[in-house]
Amino acid sequence: MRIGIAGLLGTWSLCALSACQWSSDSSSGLTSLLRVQGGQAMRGSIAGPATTITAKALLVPGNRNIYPGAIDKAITGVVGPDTNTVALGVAGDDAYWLVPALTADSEDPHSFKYSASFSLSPTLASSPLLQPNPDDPSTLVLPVSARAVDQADNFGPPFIETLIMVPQAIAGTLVVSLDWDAPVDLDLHVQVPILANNDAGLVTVWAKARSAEPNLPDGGVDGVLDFDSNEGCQIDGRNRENVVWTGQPPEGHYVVRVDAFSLCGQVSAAWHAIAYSPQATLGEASGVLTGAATRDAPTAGAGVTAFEFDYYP
Amino acid sequence: MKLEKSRHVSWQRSGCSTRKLAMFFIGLTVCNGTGSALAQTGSKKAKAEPGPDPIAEIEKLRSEFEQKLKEQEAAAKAREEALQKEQAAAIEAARDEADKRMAADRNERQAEVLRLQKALDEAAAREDAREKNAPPAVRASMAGVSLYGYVQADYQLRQSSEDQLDPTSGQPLNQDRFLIRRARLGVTMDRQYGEGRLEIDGNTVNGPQLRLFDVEASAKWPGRGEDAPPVVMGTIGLFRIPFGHEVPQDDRRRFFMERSTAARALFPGEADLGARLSGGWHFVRYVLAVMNGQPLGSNMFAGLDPNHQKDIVGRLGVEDSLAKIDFAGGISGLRGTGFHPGTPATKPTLQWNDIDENHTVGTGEITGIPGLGAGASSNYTRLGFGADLGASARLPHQLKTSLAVEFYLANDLDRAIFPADPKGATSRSFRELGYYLALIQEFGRWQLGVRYDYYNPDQDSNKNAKGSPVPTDVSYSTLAVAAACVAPWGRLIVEYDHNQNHLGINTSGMPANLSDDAVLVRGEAKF
Repeated sequence: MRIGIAGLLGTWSLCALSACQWSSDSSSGLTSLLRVQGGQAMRGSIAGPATTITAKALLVPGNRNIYPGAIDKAITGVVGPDTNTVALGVAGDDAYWLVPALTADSEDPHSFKYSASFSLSPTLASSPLLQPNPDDPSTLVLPVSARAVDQADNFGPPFIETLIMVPQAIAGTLVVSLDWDAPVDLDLHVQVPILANNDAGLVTVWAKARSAEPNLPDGGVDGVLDFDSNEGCQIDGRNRENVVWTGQPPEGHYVVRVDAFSLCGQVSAAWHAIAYSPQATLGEASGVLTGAATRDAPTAGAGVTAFEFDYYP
Repeated sequence: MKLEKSRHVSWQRSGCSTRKLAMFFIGLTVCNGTGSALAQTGSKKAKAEPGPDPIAEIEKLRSEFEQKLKEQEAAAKAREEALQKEQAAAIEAARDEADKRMAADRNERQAEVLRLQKALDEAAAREDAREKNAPPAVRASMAGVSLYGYVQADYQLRQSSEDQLDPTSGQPLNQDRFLIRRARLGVTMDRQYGEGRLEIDGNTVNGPQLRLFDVEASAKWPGRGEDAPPVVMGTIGLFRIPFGHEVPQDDRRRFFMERSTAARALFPGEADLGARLSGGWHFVRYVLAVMNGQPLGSNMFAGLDPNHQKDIVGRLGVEDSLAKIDFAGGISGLRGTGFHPGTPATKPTLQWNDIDENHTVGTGEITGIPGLGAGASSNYTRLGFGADLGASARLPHQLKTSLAVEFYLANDLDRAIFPADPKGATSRSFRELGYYLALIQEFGRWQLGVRYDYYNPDQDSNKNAKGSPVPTDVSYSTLAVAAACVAPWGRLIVEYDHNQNHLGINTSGMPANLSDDAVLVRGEAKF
C-alpha cells in the first residue's frame, strides 16, 4: 500500500512536470509576426534549419509598405529546382510557414510558382525584429525570408525581402484616442472649450458624433470622431476611436470621458485613453469598466472621466 | 373412561343376575316335568304316604319366586335407574368438564390472541421508532460511505434593484427576489488509505443550474487518532482552492451569508481543478496544490485552462487548543499564470458618420477602416499572498466568542469583479489589497456577528493618469451585521450589508457610490 501511494504521487508529479513543455511541431502561428493564409505554421525560427540543398526561393511582395495588423498582403514567388514548397517567415520569429508551390514555372520547368497572402501582427510596432531602414532612418523594415524546402524537409539558402513599416500615427493638430481590449461598445467623449462671441467660456461636448450644439462659432471646432467602433455591438474588432482636429483646436480645458455603451455580454473591458499634439502628450489614463458602468444613460457627456488637460499651443 | 368402566361393571352384574334367573326358570320347568312325573309317582306314593300339599308348596314357591322375581325386577329396575342416573350424572359431569375445558381453552386462546396482538403492536411500534430514528436507509456498495447535503434558500432585498434589464448581460437588474443560493448533495467515502468525494451543487443565482462542485479522489497515510488529519494525503480532482481560511471553508460552517469581497474577486467560485498534497502533524497543517488557475467563477474559461502553466497554491498553518481557546492561523501563497485572450482578425469596414446631420452622405462622412490581423493570446504572471488568524473562546453558560482576521495582497489575480489583465489595454499590472475583520458571539443557539471587509482591486488607479489627475478610487467595502438561530439540523440567518463602492458616476464623470445596501434572509437545512 505504501509503495502504491508513493507510486501514485510520483506519477502525478511526473505528469504535472511533463505537461509543461510538451508541444507538437505545428502551431496556430498566432504568436508570430507574419501569418500566411493557407500556409502551415511550424514552430521555430525560419533561420533555424541548416542549409542542405541548393534550391532557392524568390519572394515578390505586391506592396512593400506594411503597418501593424495589416491583412491581405499579396505575395508571389518561385521555388526550385525540384522543390515545390517554400518556407516563409521572419528570422527570430516564433514560427515560420510552409506554402506549397504547385504551378510549374513556364520559364523554368524545374521550378514552381506560388502565391499567397499574409497578415501581420497588431503588435508589430513593438517587435524587436524590426530593423532600421538603411535607406530612410526615420522608418523601420521587416526582413521576410523565403527558403526552398524539399520533400525530405531539407532547406535551401534564405532569400530576404524587406518590407517597410509605414508610420500609422494619426496626423492632426490635436488627437484624442481611446482603445480597449474586448469586443465591447465603448464611446469616446470629449468636452471641448468653446469661446462664444460673448466669451462666456461655453463648453460643448463631442460624443459619438458632432454635438447638436446649434451655436457653434465659425472655426471654433473642427474635431471629428473618425469611427464609432463596435457600434451597437456590431463587432468590427477595431476597438479604437479617435477625435481628431486638423485645424486649430480651441484653447482651454478639455475633459476626456469613456462611456460604456454596452459591454456586449462581456464581464469587463480595460481601456486606455490618450491625448496628444505633435508637440507632446497632453494626457493619458487607463482603467477598467464593469457592468455597472452601463447603467447610466448613454448620452453625450456621459461616462467616467478618464483625464483632463489644458490645451494652449 | 371411568364412566365406561362403571357401566361395564353394572352390565356384568346385571348379566349375572339374568343368568341366575334363567337357570332358575329352567330348573323350575324341569321341576314341573319331573314334578308331574313325581306327582304321578308321588300320587302313587301319597296314596302310599300323605305329606304337605305340593300344590300349595308350589304355589308357595311360585309366590316366593314371583316375590323374589318382583324384588329382583325392582332391584334391577332400581339398579337400572341408579345406573341411568349414574350415567346421566357421569355424562353431565363429563359435559361440565368438557365445557369447563372448552372455556379454559377459549380463555387460553383469547389470552394468546391478546398476547400476540400486543406483541404485534409492540413490534410495529418498535419498527416505527426504528424508522423514525434510524440512520439513512441508503445502501452502499462498500463500508465507509456516507451521504450529506444541505440547502440554503434566500430572500434578498438590494438597494440597487431596478425593474430594468442590464444592458450588458440582458439579465434583470432587480435583485429583490427569492433564490436558492446553494443546494448541495454529496457522497463521501473514507477508508483507511483512501478517500473520495462527489458533491453536486444546484442553485438559481443566474437561473437554474446544476453542476459538479467538489469531486476528489485521494490516497492518504492516516494520522494517529480518530480526529487527527492524515499525515499526508494526495488528491486529484475538483476542490476548493487551498488559500487562506475563508476560501476553502465549508459553506455550512461560515456564519455570514457570503465570503468577503476580496475572496470572491480573487478566488471566484472557490473551486478549481488540480492536484493537492495536504496533511497535518500535531498542530501543524500544510497543503500544496497545483491547479488550472481558472476557478469555477472566473470571468472567462471557468473550469478550463487556456494555458499550459499551472497555478501553485499553498498554505502553512497551525491549529490547536489552549485551555478553552481554540485558534488557527496560517500564511498562504500563490504563483500562477494568467491568460490574455487574443483578438480575431477583422475585415475592412465602411462607416457613415452624418456629421452635418442632413441625413445625406456628404464629403468626409464616409470612413474606410482597413481590416486588422488577429492578435495573439499571451500569458502573464500573477501572484497572491495571504495571512489568516482566528480564535474562539468557550465561555460558561454556552457562550462562545470568535474573532477572525484575514488579509490578501495580490498582483493581477482578480478574476471576477475587476478582472486584471496587464496585457490588455491598460498595459499595467493591478495590485489588489483586501482584508476583513469578523467578530461572532454565540449565546447557546443564538448567534450575533459583525464583519467589515475591504477590497481595492487597483491600488494604482490614481497614479497612472497624466494631465490633471482625477480621482479614480475603485475600492469596495462592506459592513455586515448578522443574527442567526441555530439548530442541529439547520439555521435561520438574517443579515444586513452596508455596501460602499465606486460603481456609480456623478455628473462630473467621477466615480461615486452606487447605493447597494442589502437585506438577506436565509433558511438553511442540512443532514
